[in-house]
Amino acid sequence: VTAPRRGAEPTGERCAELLRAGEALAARPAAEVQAALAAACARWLDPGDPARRDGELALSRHHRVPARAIAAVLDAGFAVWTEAALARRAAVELGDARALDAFVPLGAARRMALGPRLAVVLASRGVPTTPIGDAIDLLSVKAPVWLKLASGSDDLAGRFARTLREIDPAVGAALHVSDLPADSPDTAAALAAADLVVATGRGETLARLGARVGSDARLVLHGPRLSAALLTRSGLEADREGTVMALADDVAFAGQVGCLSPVVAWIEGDGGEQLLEEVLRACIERWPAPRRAESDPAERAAWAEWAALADVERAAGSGRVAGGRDSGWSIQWRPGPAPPAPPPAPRILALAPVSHAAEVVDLCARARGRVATVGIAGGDAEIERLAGPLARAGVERVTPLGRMQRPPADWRRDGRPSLADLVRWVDRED
Amino acid sequence: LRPDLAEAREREVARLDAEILEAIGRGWDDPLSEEEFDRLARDVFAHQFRFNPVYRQFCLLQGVSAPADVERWQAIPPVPTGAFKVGRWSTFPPDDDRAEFRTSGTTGNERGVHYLDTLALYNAALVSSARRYLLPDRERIRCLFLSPEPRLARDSSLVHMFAVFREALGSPGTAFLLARDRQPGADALASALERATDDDEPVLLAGAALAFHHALAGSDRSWCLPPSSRAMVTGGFKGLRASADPVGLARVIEEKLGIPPELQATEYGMTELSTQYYDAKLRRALGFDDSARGLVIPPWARVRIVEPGEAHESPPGETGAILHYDLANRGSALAIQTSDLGARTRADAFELRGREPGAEARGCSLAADLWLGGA
Repeated sequence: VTAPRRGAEPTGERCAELLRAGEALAARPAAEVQAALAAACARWLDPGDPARRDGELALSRHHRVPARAIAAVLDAGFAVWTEAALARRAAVELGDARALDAFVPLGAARRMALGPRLAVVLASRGVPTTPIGDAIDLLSVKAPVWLKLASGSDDLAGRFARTLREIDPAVGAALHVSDLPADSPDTAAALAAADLVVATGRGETLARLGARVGSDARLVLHGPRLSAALLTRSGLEADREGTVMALADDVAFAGQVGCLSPVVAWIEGDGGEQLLEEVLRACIERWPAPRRAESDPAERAAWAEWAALADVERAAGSGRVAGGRDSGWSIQWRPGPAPPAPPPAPRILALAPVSHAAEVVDLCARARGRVATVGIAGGDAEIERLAGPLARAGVERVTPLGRMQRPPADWRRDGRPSLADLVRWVDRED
Repeated sequence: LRPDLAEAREREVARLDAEILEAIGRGWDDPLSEEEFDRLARDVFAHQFRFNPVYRQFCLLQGVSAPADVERWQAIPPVPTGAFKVGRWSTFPPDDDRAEFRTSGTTGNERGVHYLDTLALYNAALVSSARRYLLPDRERIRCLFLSPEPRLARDSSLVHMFAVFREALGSPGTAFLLARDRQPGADALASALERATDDDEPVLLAGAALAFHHALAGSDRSWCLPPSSRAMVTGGFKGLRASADPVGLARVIEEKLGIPPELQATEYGMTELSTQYYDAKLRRALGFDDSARGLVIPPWARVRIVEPGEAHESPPGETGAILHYDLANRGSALAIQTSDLGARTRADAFELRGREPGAEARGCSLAADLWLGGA
């Protein structure tokens, strides 16, 4: 499987191939399929693997950052999908992983979980490994996948598909990566043929997606999400430098394009403003993006307006920015209350003070339904104390700072199970 | 303000407003020369520098320490639209407020407020442009607005514009057709269109693109409105990218209402501005000589297309960020910086480019949005 060229293939035939590949998968144990997926991920986790080395270089050119920055993304992304983790996820989410292969006793009946006959994924132009995660979810339930990349995406998904085919041709045949235009008849045909569509996007856009898919198709939609970080007083006192490094690990991951990258970091107590330059340096070190002046016009215009607004706030007596147009990153000190809000351009982080860690609960509640993860630098007891209130404020995941970008394979993305949303259950009663 | 400063401010306001009203009144017949615009723009800038302390500080940060530092209007520091959300952005005290228009907002997003101490400049600007680009051929027309009544949307600049249209341009039968919940009142729209057809009375149907879409796209009814009926479509398709095709909407309007595309004017405005821009399509179709392509800049305003993040202008035809200079914004910000992209098509015209102007900031999950946009 190669990343196709625009308009390169006849979709009717491609859909038929995928359906046939799905039928072949259905006859195989899910554990075998998951083992193949894990083996492909292991290849991509190996820095010495030729495919990985080529991929690092290609993605490095595409994203205009050094290969080491790409390597960090690949390491974090592929590490979670081990055979054991995939098997455990299936068991936890479905009650019994064997339900993907046969009727098994579950509750009051014998039950079987069936993946869709054909799934279409409308992938995000975000973290490179995210579309692969969507494909792995679906292949784990033995569903063939038409993976539609967003315009401007890198080609990691196509490269991964190639590796998968090398490891297990039958599983590889069930993954088709496409970058055909949205309005192409072939893409429309794939959508019409799918009985499950996984998509991410703005709520209002997702609401309209229904008109574009077949009437019997199910939609699994992922709306916009944001993340935030909390640097507690105790966390900073215990290890200031380590805390800043952990924050930068989470923020700068893949250039802050993912929903798990904090857009705001709350600093408990005084002295937060002094962190500006440190955080800026650490972010640049991890993801040395080109200067703003070299970015595309839309990003430059959005950033310029944001920077002017930061000047307005400074003129009004508050705020300061580290990282201007000669930098690829901007870190802003915002003295006022700062609920999580999407920055107008990538690679912008707000640092804001809170008097007490508990204040972040209210700030998260103001963005209820949109906060994917809060990463906390603090003691275990402190994190434990905040987790419940944050959950009730709508936060979907609470984790130690530095681990925000490494959710486990059975992460409840958007607060939902990842496999259980994809299958259809059949009950067999005696 | 100290009493003597307040008096000085009032005198200055009176002088500036008189000059700006005169400039708007001269309109296209006797347009401001470049020198006249430059002098008046720098006077308005000096006024804003003096009476908006935050703007003064902002200018200092931009390297402008006194109005005299600005030698040409192009050097006036533009204010980002977000400033209207940060705090009160005006040169006058709250006691002088005569109107406040709010930007549209989505859940969780703050809304900007444009405060006005007079509606005289605002109304003069909008009537002058509307007469030229919507009604060059007649004094009045029956207006059908796809919006709620003004009393239901007091903070909407668009609805205010329609209220002024009603007074200045509307003939009997003029009506607001959206209910309180802003959904198109299908019955109200149908009866208004039928009445216009029965009366053989041309109409101006005006509203946001979204309102047109909601009113017409799902309807199986159609009308053949009397000749010379026209439409004014404003705003983009925020959140509606599946149909973000102006040509498609124009076709729907033609099919459902019988208004040909050449009689559908496009208007572009922002809550933060007091001046609107129109394309000259409708004017041309009615036989008036106007060769401008894109959105026409009225003589009392200027638009610069600049390299994003830079001060210098993009070459004609090249994409850049749009900066607005609007004399009618005397009480708020003459110079406005946006992240919208556009290109100059002529000295007095520009066109929008790139993603939807005013679109919300992008988060991590834009995929389906890009996808639906035909990416």
